Order: sequence, then C-alpha cells, then structure tokens
Amino acid sequence: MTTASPAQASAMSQRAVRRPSRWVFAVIGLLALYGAHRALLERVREAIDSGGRIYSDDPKPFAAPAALDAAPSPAAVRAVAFEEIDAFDSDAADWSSLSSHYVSGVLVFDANGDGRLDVYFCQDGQNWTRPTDEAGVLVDEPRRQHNALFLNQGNDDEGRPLFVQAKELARANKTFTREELLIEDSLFPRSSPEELENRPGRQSVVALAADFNGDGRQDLLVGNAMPGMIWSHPTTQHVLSPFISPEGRKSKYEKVSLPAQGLAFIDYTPRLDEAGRRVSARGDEALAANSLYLNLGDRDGDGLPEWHDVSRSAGIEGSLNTTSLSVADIDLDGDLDLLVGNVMDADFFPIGAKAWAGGANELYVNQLADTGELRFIESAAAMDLDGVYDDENPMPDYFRLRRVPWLPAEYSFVFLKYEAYQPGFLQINGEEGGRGQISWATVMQDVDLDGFPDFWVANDMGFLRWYRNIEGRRFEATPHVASRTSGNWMSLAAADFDGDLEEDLFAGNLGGAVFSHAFPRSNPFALFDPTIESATASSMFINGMHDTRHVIVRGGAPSSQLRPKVRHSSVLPPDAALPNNIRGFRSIPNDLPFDADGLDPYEFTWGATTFDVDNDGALDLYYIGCLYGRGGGLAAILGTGPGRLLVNRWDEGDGVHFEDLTAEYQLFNIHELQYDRLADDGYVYRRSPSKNWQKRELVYSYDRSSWALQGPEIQRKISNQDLIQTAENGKGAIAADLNGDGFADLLVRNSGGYDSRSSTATNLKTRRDGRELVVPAHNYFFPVPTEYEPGSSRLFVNRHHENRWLRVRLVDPSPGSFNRNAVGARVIVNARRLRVHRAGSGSFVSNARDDLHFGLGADGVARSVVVHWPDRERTVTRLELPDLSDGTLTIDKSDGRVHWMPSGSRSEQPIVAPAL
Amino acid sequence: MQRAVGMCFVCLAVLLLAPGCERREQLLGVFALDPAAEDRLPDGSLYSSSTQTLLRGHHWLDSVTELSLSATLDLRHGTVTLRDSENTQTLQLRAVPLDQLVPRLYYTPASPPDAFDAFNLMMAEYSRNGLSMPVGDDGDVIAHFRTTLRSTDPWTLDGAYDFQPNPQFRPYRVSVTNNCLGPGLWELAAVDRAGELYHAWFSIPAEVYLPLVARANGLDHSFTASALTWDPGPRPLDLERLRTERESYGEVPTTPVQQREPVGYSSQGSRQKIARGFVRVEKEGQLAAPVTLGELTALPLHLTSFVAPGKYSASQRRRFDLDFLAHPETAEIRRVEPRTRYAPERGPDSIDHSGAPHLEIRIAFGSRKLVLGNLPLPLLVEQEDFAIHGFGVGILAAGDLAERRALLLRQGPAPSYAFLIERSGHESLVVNTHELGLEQIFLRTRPFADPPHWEITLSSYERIVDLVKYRVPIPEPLLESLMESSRRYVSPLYFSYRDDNLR
Repeated sequence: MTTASPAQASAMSQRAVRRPSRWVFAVIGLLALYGAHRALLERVREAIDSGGRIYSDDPKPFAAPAALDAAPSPAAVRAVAFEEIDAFDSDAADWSSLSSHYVSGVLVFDANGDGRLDVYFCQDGQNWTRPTDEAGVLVDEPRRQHNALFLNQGNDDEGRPLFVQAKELARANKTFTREELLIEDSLFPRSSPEELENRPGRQSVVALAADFNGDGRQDLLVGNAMPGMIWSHPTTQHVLSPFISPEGRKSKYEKVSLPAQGLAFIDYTPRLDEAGRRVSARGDEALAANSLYLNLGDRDGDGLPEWHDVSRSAGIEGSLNTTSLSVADIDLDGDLDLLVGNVMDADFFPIGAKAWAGGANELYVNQLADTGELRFIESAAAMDLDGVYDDENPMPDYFRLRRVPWLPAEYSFVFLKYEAYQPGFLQINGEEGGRGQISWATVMQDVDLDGFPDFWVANDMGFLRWYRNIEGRRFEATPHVASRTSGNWMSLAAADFDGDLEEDLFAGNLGGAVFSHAFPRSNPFALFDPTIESATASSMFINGMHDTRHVIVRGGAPSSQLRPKVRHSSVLPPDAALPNNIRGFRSIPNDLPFDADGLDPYEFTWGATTFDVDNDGALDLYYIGCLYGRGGGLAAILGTGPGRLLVNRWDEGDGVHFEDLTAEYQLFNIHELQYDRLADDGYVYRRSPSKNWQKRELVYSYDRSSWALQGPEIQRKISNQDLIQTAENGKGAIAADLNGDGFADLLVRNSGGYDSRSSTATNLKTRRDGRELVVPAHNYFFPVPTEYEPGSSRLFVNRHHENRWLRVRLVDPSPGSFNRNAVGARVIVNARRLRVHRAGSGSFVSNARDDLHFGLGADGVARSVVVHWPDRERTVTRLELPDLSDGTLTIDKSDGRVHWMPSGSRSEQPIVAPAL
Repeated sequence: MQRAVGMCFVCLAVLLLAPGCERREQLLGVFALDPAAEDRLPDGSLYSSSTQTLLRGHHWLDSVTELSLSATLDLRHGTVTLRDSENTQTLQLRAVPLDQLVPRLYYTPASPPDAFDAFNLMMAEYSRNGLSMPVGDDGDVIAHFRTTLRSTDPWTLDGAYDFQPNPQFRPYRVSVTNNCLGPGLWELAAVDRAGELYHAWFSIPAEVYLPLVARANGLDHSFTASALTWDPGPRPLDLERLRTERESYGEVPTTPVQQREPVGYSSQGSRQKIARGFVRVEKEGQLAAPVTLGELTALPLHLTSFVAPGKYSASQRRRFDLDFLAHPETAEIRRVEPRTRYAPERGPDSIDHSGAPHLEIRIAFGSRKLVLGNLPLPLLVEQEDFAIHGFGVGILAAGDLAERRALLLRQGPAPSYAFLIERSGHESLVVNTHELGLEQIFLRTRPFADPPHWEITLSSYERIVDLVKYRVPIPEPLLESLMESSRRYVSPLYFSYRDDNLR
C-alpha cells in the first residue's frame, strides 16, 4: 500500500476539482450549442413563415371603396345595356369539361357571302364527359359534339339576329349535303343530316376564316387538339397549395395528390400523343391534325356553302395542340401565310411539375403565289419562329431556394437566398414533352411599320414575344417594354387606344388578383426543387422577374407602355382595387409598383377583344377569363375574370384612360345576374349558387368575404367580392356586328363542368342500387361537384343607336395577288381613326373576319380614308370622301374604284372619291 | 454548479416532454350510438335537411355502437372516443370544449341567480349548439379529431363513372352537437365535402350532464336542474344585467318589406329545408307551399317538427301564428354599454370592439317589443349580415367550426342579445320565443342606400325559413359612423375562418 505525498494529494485534490469543472464546461458548451441550435430553429421557423406568407409592407388605412359611394359618371349614365339573346341551340354550348378538352373556341365570319356574319363553334369531338339528368344524376353516355356552323338569317323585328344551324339547312336540300356538313370536322363526315351525329370528331379548339386561295370566298381553318388531361400523371400533380388554402388549420406540404380519376371520373393513362396517329376519312392522320376547308360557294343555293377538305394536300395538318391561328402575308409575295400557336400535350401540363413542357409553334409559308398551288411549307424553325427553347432562345430564369452546402437543409432558410435556374424537360412514362413554349395567343402586327408583318406570341409562364419580321426572311425576338420579365401571357388584343395612329397592343396576363390573394404557406423544403408554378411565384415575389399584370404596349414605341388610369366600376370593382386589399410582397415595393387606379388590379384574362361599344371613335376593351373552372375553380379569386368592359375615354383629354362600365352595359359573364336595381340603388344581385356557397339566398354586389391564411394565429386578411366568384368559366370573347346595325355585338364562350353556379343546381349524383346518391369531391381540396352544366355561348346584342359609323371593305383582285381581302392593311379614316385588317384577332380561341369598323361619333361623317396596302410596294391609297356615314365603303385596289352601300341597302353604288 | 446544471437538464426535460403530456381526464361514461334515428320517406331516402352522400350507410363509423366520453378534471374539455368492437379503427375527438357546448350565461347572473338567469340558461339549452372539428395533430389546442382512418379518397372507381364508396375514408370534419330538444340529447356527425356520411344520436344522462352545465356556469346543481326544465311561460326581464343604457336616437317608423318576394333564407343551411317542403301555410283549410314572404305571417304557418332524439319528423308539423310580426310600428334606437362577455376571465381589454359604440334596437308591435341589443357598431356593415343566432343572450351558432368558435370566445365582441318582451301591467316580461316559432335575426346595414336603413330579417323555428324583413331607417347621428364601419370593414376571423378559399 502506498501513501500519497502531500503534494500528490494536493494535485489529486485539484484534479478532483478540475475533472468535474471540465465536464461542466463541456455540458455548458453543449447547452450553448443546443441553445444556439434552438434559436436557429426559431429563426428558421420565422423565415419559413415569412417566406411563404404574404405580409403588408404598407398597411394602408382602409379607404372608401369607390363601389360604395361614388356617383355615376356621365358615361355610365349614357350607357345602353346590351341585350342577351338566346340565339343558338344547345349544340352551341360546350358539353365537355376541363379534363376532356381544355377549351373550345368560336369564329365569326360570313360563310355564305350573304353579307351577314355567321358563327362557327369549335367543339370536343372526343368528349367523354357525361352530363346529368334533371335530378343531377349522371347519364350513361357523354354528349359527343361536332363543330357547328350557325348561319345568320337576318334579324327579327327587334333587331335580334336569327341563326339556323347548318345541319338544319342541309336537311331542307338534299344536294351536296356531305360537302355542306364537312366542316363539322368529324373523323368520318356525315353524308346527310339524318346520319348519326354522335360520332367521333376532332377536338377543335380554335378556328379562323381567310380567303387562302384568293377566290373571294372565306375558307375555314380549324386548329385541333390531341387527347390529353391536365394533371393526369403524378409528376404533374404538385399543384394545389399555391392556389388554395388547404384543409384544416395547419400548414400542409406543397405536394397534394391530384388524382386524375378525381377530376375525370374515368380511368386514364397519360401518354405523349404528339406522334399519335389514327384513321379518318383522310386516311392516317395525326391525333391533333388541323383542318383546312376551302369554301366552294353555295352551288345549290340553299344558303349553305359547300366545302372541300384540303388539309392533307395543303400540308397544313400538323400534329401539335393548336390554340391560336394568325394569318399574314409575311413575305409580301401576295399570298397568305399562317402562324400556328401551339401548347404542350395536356398530359404534360407543367405548372405542377418540376420540369418544363411546351409545344413548338409552326409557320406555314404559302406557295400559292410562287407555284399556283395551295400548299404550305412549315418553316418556323428555319425562320426562328418556333419558340423552342434552345441556346438562341433561352428559357426565362426560374428561381429556387439555394441550398447551403454541408449543413442541414433548415440552415438554408436562415439566409433565404434564391438562385436562378432552368428546369429540365418533363418526362412521363419515358417520353419527353415538347421543348417549345405554351403559346395561348398570337397576333399579327407591323410593330416597326416596315411593311413586313411581325407577330406577337403570348406565352404562359414565359415571355411575351415580339417576333420582328426581317424582310420576310426570318424573325427575330426583339426586346420590348415587357420582355424583361416573364408572365402568364394568355391573350392579345391590338388597337390604337390612344388615337396616335400607331396601333397599341393589350397583352392579357394572370392579372392583378394575385396581389390580393392569400397564398397558403407552402412546404419550404419544396423550394429547393420547386414546381414550375412555385418557381414562377418565387421569380415574381422574391426576385421581381415575373409579372402577372396586364400590359398595353405603346404603338410606335414598343419599349414603353401605356399606363392608362381606370375609373373602376362603381358597382363591382376588381378586388385588388380595394385599397386595403393590396399586400406587399418582398419585391413589390421597389420593383413592381402597383397602380391601384390603373389596369394593375384587373383580373385574369382569356378572351380579349377590342371594339367601339358606342361608336364614339375610341376603341374599347372587353375581356373575360376563368382559369380552371367557374369562379376560377381551383384558382378561385386568383383566376377569376368576371368580364370587364373598359370603355376608352381618350377623347375626353388627359390621354388614354378607361372607365369600367361592365355593369352599366350589363356585360358581366355571370348568369342570373339582375340589373334592375342598378340605376336607382346602385347595385346588382343574383340568387346565390345553390352549391359551394355559404351565404344567404341572394348575393349582392356589395357582399364580401374575407380570407386569411390558415391558422388562428394568422391575421392577414383580404376581402373578395362574393359576386365575382359566381362568374362563368369564360374562355372566348369576340366582338362583331352580328345584326348589321353598325354597332358591334359581343359573343362569349364558356366551358362546362361539374361546377355549376346555378341557384337551382343539385349535387352530382350517381345511381347505385336503385338509389340516387350524392358524389362527394374526390378529396378534401376540391369543391363539391354539382350536376353537370354545359358551358354557355352567350350573345349580347349592342343596343346603342345614337352615334354614326362607317364600315370599310377592302378588295384586291390584282393579278398575282391572292390576299384578296388585304389582310394586314392599315386603314385610317379622317386622319384620326386607325384600324388594321386581320384574320386572327389575338383573342384567346376567338376570331372574327369582318370588315373594318369605325365609330364616327354623334354627328360624325367620314371625309377621308387612307389605305396602306400590304404589299412590297407599300402602296397607299388616299381618298377624299363625300361625308359618308352609316354604310359600307368598298375600295378596290386594282382599279381604284370605290363603292358605297348605305345601311339597310343590299346593293352598292359607285361613288366618286377624289384622291387626296 | 452541478446542481445548476442538473436543474437545467430537468427543465430541459420538462420543456421537451411537456407538450407530449396529456391532461388528466376522467371517464364520464359510455353511451350508445343510434345511427338510424331519422325518419324515412316512402322511397327509402332519409327525411333530413342535410345532403346525404354516397358514403352514408357505408362507412366504418356505422359499425361503431357506442362512444366513450371523458373530461378533464375541471370538466371544461373532453375527449370522445369511437372504436368498433373489433378495435380495427379508432376515431377520437380531442380538446372538445365541453364548456362551449353546454348552455352558458355570458354575463354576471344575480346572486343568487334568479328567474331571468334561469330563463336565459333555458333559452340557451333549447338552442342547437354544435362544433365541427377538423383532423388535427398532437399539440392542437383547439378541438380536433385523430383517427387511424388514413384514406382521403371517399370513393374509388370500378370503371368510368362507377363510384364505389370507401368505408375507410377519413372524414373531412366531425361534429358534436348538443341539440335543442332537451338536456342531454346530443348528436355526432361526420361529413365529406358534399354532406353527411354519418349521423348518430346519443344521450348523456342527467347525472353526467347537469354537472357539466353547473360547473361551466359556476351555478349550483339544483338551480341548474330547475333552470333547464322547459317552461313556456314568460319571465321577468332585467336588461340592466346585460347593458347600461345611454342616449336614445329616437324612434323611427318601421315597415315590413319584400312582402311580395318569394320565400327565402338567410343561411344556406335552410335552402334544403325549403326545397324539401319543411314550410307550409294554411290556405283554405289546406296546407300549401308558400309563395310570397308575406304569406308566412298573414297565414297560419306549419313547419316540420323537430322531435326526439333530434330529427325532423316526416309526419308531424308545428303550427304558428305570426300575424303580429307583419305589423311593426316604430323602432327606438339607443346606445348602450355592454355588460356581457363570452369569457369573463379574459378581461375587458381583449374584447373586440370593446370601446366602440353598441346599439339596442327596439321594434314595437302593439304590446310586444322585439329587443336586439349589444350590437357592435363596427360590425353593422353593408358587406355582411350581422347574425344573432337565437333569442336569449349570446346564443351561439347552431353549427360552428371549432376554430371560429375558439376565436369568437377568445376575441369576439360582447355577446348580443335578443328578446321578445311584452308588458304585463308595469312589468316587462320576456317571452319564450321557441313557443312562438322565432329563432334567428339578421341585420344588414345599408348606410349608402337612399334612404339609409337597416334591413332586419327574422327567421323561423329550426332556422327553416325567413319569416319577415323590416326596414328600419338609420338615425342621422349614426350615419357617418356606420358608413365608416363599412368602409373599414374586413370580416373578423371569428366570422370568416374557413378551411379553404374554394367555392
């Protein structure tokens, strides 16, 4: 046994003391680390909250919404309500649904050359959507539809146009019926109207009329889609939380399964159909083959023209999902060329995917002038117009959260750094989607006035492109005022809004409701590898590189835009116009100034059309649009455009400014809406929808709901006007003078679905064991399905009669010219009003082929006209006119003769129009 | 130092473990469930005002025969547990605020409580009071449910449009309701997004139920038992207990409006009741569907009876004579200072709009007066109805989201009241309006209309139909304030909270 010395004992004693002190320090150190970690996590939580949550940088005091106490303006008092008429039979409605067929368009043109405008409805020829009976019970078969041409039979005594469907006229005359019914666009056309209608057809989206072969008759071009269903594959289904606040009071993950069966009620296997083929009367054809029908005239005199299918021989069928058609003589060789705007196969709809898919655009160059044969050569890639993403045409920057290397993912939220990236291309079942863009709309416009027509292309989740025509040899994507940021571009409408004789361009976007939308918190971890939609949202709200507001590109100066002020509706202003409703996002205060008194608050747009509602000379704008369903569907509030008529008041000084007179003209795209208390009490109302509606039986324009992000702790609130949520699922809108009274009427197309807003709608029911049972929504995140309601096609007849007007018809029968109607011509009346002749309006899936229309004001007359013809010589015709109004002026380029046909007359007379 | 470190660890352990600890609960009882109490029509369908979905009768819940109810020691919160006999699945409602589901006096009662207090407790007991709960997680303090049911697909497809109900579907929400027929009659329901997939009834015996009410109100058992006994007669009125009177804005003429308009409803829950013929009027000795609003007061009214255990009767109706409602005379508007409060422990500062003016509107009908009081001026707006869910004091909504209810009681304004009173000599007596067929009141303020006015709607027994609408002119001194209320208004979350922003 040894004994420790005193020194050793002292040392041991010190060790005994030191040993626990090191342990203590270690523990304290660990605790400190743990505390720091907890503090970090707290910070992370805050960062996560603020990253996914809207907040108010500028909590403006609640101010008086104009809707509540504004006096009506003189223009509002002068407004004359449109009359909605029941002009078409049920074949004009859309009996399909979002899952079967995204959209069906409309075309207005004079099919039979009788001087009256007819209407052609595109339909879903492969529709599998089953409608319901009167009790809301699903029936056993879908209502498959063929395209339907309604021929204008003149007006009734009250000036309402009367229409008869082609099949009814064909019934009355047994000759040429196969040729007359060809434009139903069935795969195997009927030979007579007695044959079965419910036969497979093409899935038609958009149609356009133009005289392609220069014979003086309007031919018909139909753009078709392939089978497809958005969100049908799990890869594309990460979509919901950016749109809706999820169930319950907790934040939910970004990915919410969106089973296709829930939307479609059928078994469906997604696949890439761009190369798909099928058999038709043409033989073997692409699933999305387009159709070109040459107008042969009405040889049997039954009021119904006959047609000849030249789709195959003209080489114009294509194989992609077509949504837009624009015609122009791009090389000024005297024939009409064609730009086809395409989108992805719907199975590859990328918004909820983490990779991209689109559709290449096509440019069909007509060989008629060179060869005498109507045949097109597809030249988009060769002329740099296909929009395919490549090195020369890079994608916009998308943004994702930058991952801090080495550390756990949570630590990245502390820094909240976003980085630009380009997503890959979407693959489903081993097939890669298209590398093009999602081009919903295209329109021709000679932006730089060099005589060669340029094109605008509206791309969703991409750029608004101005493709400048380089002397007919190629196109060049050219910078403009809105080209720095991407957008959700969906519609185009060209017009000289500010009267400077330079045509401007309205480009419709997702709209301003985004700025008053309560985004739910998303799963922040998903921001490392975001969906296209989330990446776009980051681009907008974090980096300021994406913008959802509408734009009016200034004519003659495309690097600037018109920023018109808008006097909002005194009845139902856009939600984002309510002063307390605009919420600051990170990027907004500096990068995206929001003008609540301008166009910025205006809602989602699909169809957009310009016309002179009261013939005062200034072009007005009407647009509608719902994104995924009535009231916006999944994108409620954010994707709901109830219809807006913005009346142009530039003649009143102070530059261009608009006034929203949708209520006064009774043009809201809302069914059952009552306007009888508007004048005296200042509000409109309707019976409440019977389903998916929480409030009382009547909904008034002053009713509002407030929404908040989830969780009782969250106090951010926004207000939405209830009535806006009753909007129909608007898609197409086009203005044209259907009753020939000199005032443009308005045609609106809506999509159908199991989402009725009717006050009498029932739940969707199925029959099971002999009983009718209500079908619940397929998961918590969807509204209750209702009985099926087809999408209405609404015709609003303009009842203005006060002001004068002039219609100008151009004819170019020159030898060697096949652009007989002078598509692309610029016409100026009285050195003050500019119109451009188009085939392909730019409005989403909506076109009209009509003469040029000029409003002349109360006592106005046309004293002069200048025509800039679309030819290489840049021919200009300048004529002095003998004070004309209320009639049609025909100008013949070949011999300079001018004819005049007063309103109401059926024959035109030559007039003397000296050259200016 | 070591002790300090040890304490740190203990505190840390407590902090980390505390959220997982559950409050101690006591079992209050196990009660039989009856999922087949409703009347059926000849075609076999249920006679109900609720939409019945594909899953009704096909859900796992239908295999559950009983529930157990336990509560915290203070009887304020409860847990409802359902499991089938095989114990294959469970569904448990947690943090159920029992004190929100039993009748409450949302003011300070007399000491000892008197007949007016008993009347108010009875009016609350005989008003329907339900809470709907979402699925939740551990740590949720607001009522929620947990379940082993995982599936979120209510149905599957056996082919195109061939829907097959999924018995294992996790309900969207589950609700518990203390119904209006009498003490201890409760209901349990589960819904998907379209409607009811399950509905059952159960009874809580008096020995369990009365202590819940007594404890929640701080009352003794004998008073509680006596107060909850149905008494159709009038009782003395003491409004001073509910508010302090301030200046009067005078009397204004009051008129019934929209008498020729079709019958309608102020809340969507009533739509199906009207559509399914719950409302009839007596015309020439026959029962007929009413055509105009005016007929509901001009003719004897027959409404579908609500009978035990809490269902609509396919064979019985109750007759009401509401002619007096068609003849309002004047309305007196007065400013008042509320003395009511949902949660007395909150203190005055946490009450929404506590400093704002409150109004009392008295509409006279001969010897009777309709009194609506503690109406918070900031909530009387153009954009939304201000709802009084029943006659009495602070009657809660018949069916409410648990989140809204929690917010309302935590932040909401001073509870409003509604009474029908009649003169008896010098005394004002308060009438049992359940006997008269009146239930709810909705106020819409139209300060920008010409002339500015309130539109006041009275709805019927069991919230079946709107009975009458009045136009009450807004006194000039109040106009600017009411305009400002509308201008500034954004719905409070306790009115507007929802699971989603879908429609």
